[in-house]
Amino acid sequence: MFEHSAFRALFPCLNQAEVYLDNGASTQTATPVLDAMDQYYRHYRANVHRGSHPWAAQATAAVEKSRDDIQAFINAPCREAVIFTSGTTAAINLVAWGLIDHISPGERIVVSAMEHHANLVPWQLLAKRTGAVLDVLALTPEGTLDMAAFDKLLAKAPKLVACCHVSNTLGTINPVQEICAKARAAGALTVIDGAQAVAHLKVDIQAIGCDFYAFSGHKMFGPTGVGVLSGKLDALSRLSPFIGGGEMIEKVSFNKVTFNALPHRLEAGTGPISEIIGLGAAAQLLAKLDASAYEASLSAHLLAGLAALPVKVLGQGPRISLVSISVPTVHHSDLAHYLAGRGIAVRAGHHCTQPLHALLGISGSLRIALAPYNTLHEIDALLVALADGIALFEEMA
Amino acid sequence: MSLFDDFANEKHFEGRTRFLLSLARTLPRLADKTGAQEVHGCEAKTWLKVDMIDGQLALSGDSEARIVKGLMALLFSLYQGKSLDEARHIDARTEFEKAGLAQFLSPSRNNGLYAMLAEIHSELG
Repeated sequence: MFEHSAFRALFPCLNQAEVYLDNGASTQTATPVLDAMDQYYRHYRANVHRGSHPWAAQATAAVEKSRDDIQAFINAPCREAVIFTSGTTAAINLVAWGLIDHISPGERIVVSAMEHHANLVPWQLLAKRTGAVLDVLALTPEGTLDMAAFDKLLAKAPKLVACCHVSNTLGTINPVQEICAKARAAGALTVIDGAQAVAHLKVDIQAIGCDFYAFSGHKMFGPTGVGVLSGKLDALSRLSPFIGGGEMIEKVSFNKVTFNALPHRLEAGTGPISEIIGLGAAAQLLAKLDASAYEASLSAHLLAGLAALPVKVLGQGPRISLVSISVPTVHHSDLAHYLAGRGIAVRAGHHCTQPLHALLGISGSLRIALAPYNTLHEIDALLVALADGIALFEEMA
Repeated sequence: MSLFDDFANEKHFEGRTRFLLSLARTLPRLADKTGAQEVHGCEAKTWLKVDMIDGQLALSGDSEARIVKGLMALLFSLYQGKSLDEARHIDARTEFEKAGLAQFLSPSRNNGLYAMLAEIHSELG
């Protein structure tokens, strides 16, 4: 049973007048996360995996406990299949660089048309470096992935398929399980960007069947600067190390290096130790959270309110509690500015999905991204401010 | 009284927004955007044109967003009709601060006011 007020009370930043609806960009950080990081800095700050003294042992244990918590959180096949990175972008780039020796000129890489730049640009760069060809999986007029078009792209035997679990602009939940099964049958590796999914859906990466899955701490009530690359152990093992040095080596001479086993092979240098520990606390918090019904009620309330306003909701299909809108008569940046003046934080712009916005024929949109700490009252405040803002800009046209 | 004083005299956010929107209406639409510079750093597409007519600055510009256009009109009021030498001595940042513009704008990351100012300065040489 989800207890809203107890959950909201975990977020010190929310004890202010601000209405925070920009959770797609970053969620607020929960007190157990802050406490875990604070404990490390105040009581046992040391580097991990190397030292023989008690603080080093304690820090190492905390980091490895966090790995276990993440493994449980996303049902990774084993703890070695949890690689800490600085975030989703770094995780996807780790894959793109790690596959550079495995992609040949003329081979194909499929990306969906609703990808965040973080799951598009690394593939563009990989294609450029290797001479591979990038194919874009189109959307239907309703704004969902065109699965018939996907079959045609798979017929060209791509080497890799990259797709988001949830669109950061449309909020759409993609059929990633079906996508991965089809891609696998066609012999392609799959990379799923889970950045928008982990805070809203129960993610089971083995059920999804992807080769790689990436997400960030700061979108799941955890710290910034930390994220995870996970997936199948054999797929992760295939990645060439991207950054050399530190714990990723096994033996080094002046002539030769052999690499450590996973996960360390892909974790060069000293990672963000306190953030990794904080991320473990966030995963524990989310694993216990059952807010899907509450979030659905927030979404329904928001969509009903928006339906009464002169705004266009982008995208259709099953979605998380994230809605982007465009207002024909008012520029998104004007409206976001007005809402900010009313103490309401939303996102305006292209949300790092410029190609998708170009496809929709708009330069940007206004994104309202909810989290389970938001309230119906906050949504009402947004709806009133939106109506007032639209009226003001129309009056002053 | 400068436009900056008028802006500062509006004490509330709503009034300041209305003021900028009315200023935006005073700038004619830029029909010919080819000769204009697109200003990067604005969340909305924005164009700026700096001409010299009889030794005086003649600024024109346009933006998809009307708050940005209002800010542009406010910024132009400092420079319009000035000689190059006069313009180089204008301390726009201090004017922004005195008028409380920074505070007003802080919620919006890329309003582009400073990008527009940088654009004017690059034209001044």
